[in-house]
Amino acid sequence: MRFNRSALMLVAKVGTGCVYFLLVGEVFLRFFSPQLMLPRYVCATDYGIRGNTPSQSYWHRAPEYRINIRTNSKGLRADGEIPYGKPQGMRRIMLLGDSFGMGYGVSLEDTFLARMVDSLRAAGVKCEPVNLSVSGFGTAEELVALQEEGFRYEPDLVVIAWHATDLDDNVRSNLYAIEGKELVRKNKTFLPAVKSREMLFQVAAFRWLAIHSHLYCCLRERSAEVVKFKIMPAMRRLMDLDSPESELTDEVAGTPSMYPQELAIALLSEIQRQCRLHGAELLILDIPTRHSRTEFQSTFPSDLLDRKDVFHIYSPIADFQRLSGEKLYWEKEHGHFTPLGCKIVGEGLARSVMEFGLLAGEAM
Amino acid sequence: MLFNSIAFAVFFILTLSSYWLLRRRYRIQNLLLLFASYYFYGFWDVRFLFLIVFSTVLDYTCALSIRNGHMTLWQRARASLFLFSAALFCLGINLKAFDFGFVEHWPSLAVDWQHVLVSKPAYWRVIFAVAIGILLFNAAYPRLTRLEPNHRRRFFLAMSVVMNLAMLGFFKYFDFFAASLQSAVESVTGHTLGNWTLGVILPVGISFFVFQTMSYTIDVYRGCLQPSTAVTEVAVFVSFFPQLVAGPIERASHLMPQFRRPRTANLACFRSGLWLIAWGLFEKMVVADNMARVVNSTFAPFSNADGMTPVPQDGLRLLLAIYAFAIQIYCDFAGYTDIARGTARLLGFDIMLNFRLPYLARNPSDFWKRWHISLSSWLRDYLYIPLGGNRHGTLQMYRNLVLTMLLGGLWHGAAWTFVLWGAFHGFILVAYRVVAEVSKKGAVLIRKVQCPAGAAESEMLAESLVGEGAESSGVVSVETAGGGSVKCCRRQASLRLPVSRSVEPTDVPGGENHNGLASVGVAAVQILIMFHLVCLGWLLFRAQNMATVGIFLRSIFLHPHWSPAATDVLWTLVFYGWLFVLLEAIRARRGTETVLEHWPWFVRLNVWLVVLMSLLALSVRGAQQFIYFAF
Repeated sequence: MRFNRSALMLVAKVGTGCVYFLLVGEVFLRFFSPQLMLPRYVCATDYGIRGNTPSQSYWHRAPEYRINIRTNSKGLRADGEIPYGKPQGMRRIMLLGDSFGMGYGVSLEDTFLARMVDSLRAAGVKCEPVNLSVSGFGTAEELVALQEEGFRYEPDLVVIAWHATDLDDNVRSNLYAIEGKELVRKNKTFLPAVKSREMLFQVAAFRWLAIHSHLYCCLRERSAEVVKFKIMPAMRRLMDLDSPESELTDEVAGTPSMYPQELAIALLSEIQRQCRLHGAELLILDIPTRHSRTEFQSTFPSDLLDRKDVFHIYSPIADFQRLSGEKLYWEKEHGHFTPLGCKIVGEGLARSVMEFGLLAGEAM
Repeated sequence: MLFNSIAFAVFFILTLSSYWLLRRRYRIQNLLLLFASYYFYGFWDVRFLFLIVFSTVLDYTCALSIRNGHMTLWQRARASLFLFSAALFCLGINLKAFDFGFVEHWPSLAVDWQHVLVSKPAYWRVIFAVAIGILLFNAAYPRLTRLEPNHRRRFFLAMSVVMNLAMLGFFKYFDFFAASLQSAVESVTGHTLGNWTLGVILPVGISFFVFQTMSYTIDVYRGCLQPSTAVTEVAVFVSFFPQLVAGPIERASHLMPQFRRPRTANLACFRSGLWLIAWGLFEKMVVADNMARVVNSTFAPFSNADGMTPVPQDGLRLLLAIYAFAIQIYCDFAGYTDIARGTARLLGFDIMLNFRLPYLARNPSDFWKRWHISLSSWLRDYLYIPLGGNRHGTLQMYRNLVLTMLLGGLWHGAAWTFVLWGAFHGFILVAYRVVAEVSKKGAVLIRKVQCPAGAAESEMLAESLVGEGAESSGVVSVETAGGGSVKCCRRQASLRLPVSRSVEPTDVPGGENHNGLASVGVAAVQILIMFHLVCLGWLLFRAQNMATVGIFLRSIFLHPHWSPAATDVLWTLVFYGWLFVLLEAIRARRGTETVLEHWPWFVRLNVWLVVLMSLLALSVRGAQQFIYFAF
């Protein structure tokens, strides 16, 4: 009896302490460090990579904005359904990218894809957007998504949103690799933590925490950083697995390897080849890294800069610098475009389409 | 391996667990600590581990030879073997030829035998030179021990000092002096001499461990300490990983006895150790690293400043940035020290206090008793006092102060701004002495006029105000923060945080102090003035060049205007500094070593929670290097 009472007391103390810690932590964060509440609704697709969870409506909250994100029954960020077959005379512009492409930080009508379509319509081009972007995508996943799902929508123009993280993400996903100068498919699937997430999200309390708890979001972000950048690479090296991370550094010289750039070039070349096979044009958006409101840097593989006649690339750096000092990126979250930034990019993309004549032919 | 990294956390947990599993065998614990410390240092660059071993063997040999007159053959053999093995391992083996991993879930070690040995001829020349040096030394040793005792003692002392300083001088200062000489000759004669610099890498922590090993030999020479006969004991003293790379510079008389007895750690030790680590991480990752952002962004535009660089019109922003740097450097360094002390405490060791609320200093002398105590006391005991201290007249004392501070500045880094910083502190120390002397004489004169009968007592009291520099030559006991005591030959900085109250000129012995508010006011003004003098020194310390110093001073004094950017800097100072300032103020008021002592459990719990949540949410991403690692 004495043992039970003291054990119960101990459990009660520990339990109370845990609850107190959670409460104090939550209050502390809400006052001193409000977290980015950017829940990510991703699931496993039939073709082995991530996709947006279909038919969702949820809020993104950051210190600088609050926006609603909606997906249709196929997981595209859209307000309605988009049939695979396109209407007669309509040009379809398909966007493949990561959270930038999805339009994190802006409402649907303010995304750069929507702005691009608005500008093209104003110029007399009858077109509609199809956004196949998924937060966390790299070029490798974009290629898979394009092949498995994207071409079903009969796009006339494919826009690939290139971002700084794509170099490492392509290597880390290990979906494709370069072997003997050829691009080969290495793995059928890449579903980082998707299954566990799907399982946890079936629990209502967990889902509520993910949406409303600052403490949960903080712990999730920190643990994801540690696991992704420290623990997994160390485990792979120790386990002597075919470590994709080992490709990020030149073992001999100890300098950053050129492999990520080579892989990126190969992936983009394959995307272009696939587009040509399906009668579509390709335009690459080079999303610059922001150092300040006036300094921007391109992270596009430098080799490709000499092959502008092979790829159509739009870089908004010059347009951004003309608006020196304006807030084009959110500054208190992961650095996505503001509505103004999206407007500039969208208009710039539309201008590039017209300059390169990418929608010049007859609509199919 | 940075303290604020996951690698260190894993390393320390493994070391700590193994350490306490061996709690009944303290000698094996020492061996474990030695291997852990070598691994800790070698994690950065195993080649430079050889320098630690070299310094260890050098001072082990010199100390025994000074005290005992000779080393036994067995002692010499062990030391020689240790040194040569270290040279072979650190310089001759290519560790990249070994690959440890798991194959089918079993650990495996693969060796590329063709590349096991390093292929660089320079490294083999060093190993060969070490071997020849060992042989020659052993051959000459019998003759050296037959020298007249005083000559022998001086010879081995000189050998330790010269070789340690040569090692420090080469790795830290060769390129600096070569480049300075080059540009001086070129600017004077107009001739280009070519490039004399060698691109020498600065080994992490060399300034710290060299001073630490030298103090061991010097204390043996002075008769304050018995030399150790076990080379492993000296090795673990020199390389003890909590304080290896950024201090405190421990004294052998304080640390070495702790390796000679079993260590115990009770729950209170663990609690205080964990608190010191958590608080140290908070100081570093939350306060210092966030201050660094505004400091770096303020100083960055002036990295190539010259006479033509425009002076910013918002001088108050620059002033706030200097305050931010003052907080940054203090929290960075004190944070490291607290983590070191906490880590050592979890292992059952007591490491000396290195800071005593330095920004509450009222005068330059007081500041150097509170800031980087281990270095300032080292410089006092091994440089200032041997130079003569204050024993040979006032002008000599001033000279010794300036020289000591100049070399103290140079110790911090190979750059003229550090020398200038040292000179600045030397100058204000001298100025303070002059002012204090004049005040003393003035106070005595006033007493004589007001109260001739009490003048003698007042003279004695006034003497105590400037008696800080007076060194004792007797053996004194110093109480350690861990509750023990150690004997040392010179009066050392107190290792326990005292309840601070300095004697004010208005105090009358035997009477009441009727000027409480006035004395608080005077103290506040003194602290404010001293803080700003220290900040001026920090400007010299942080500025990339003298042009930057000039720009900052002109901006602050000629254009003291506000700007939106100044608001950002102020917000950063307040947001990240408020908790730190509050807890330090409480510590100062209570006079306790840590702020949590004697508080109710509920208050301690909440302080812990706030610190942990700050580390989780407010710390800068990515492990940032400690400033003093560069020294």
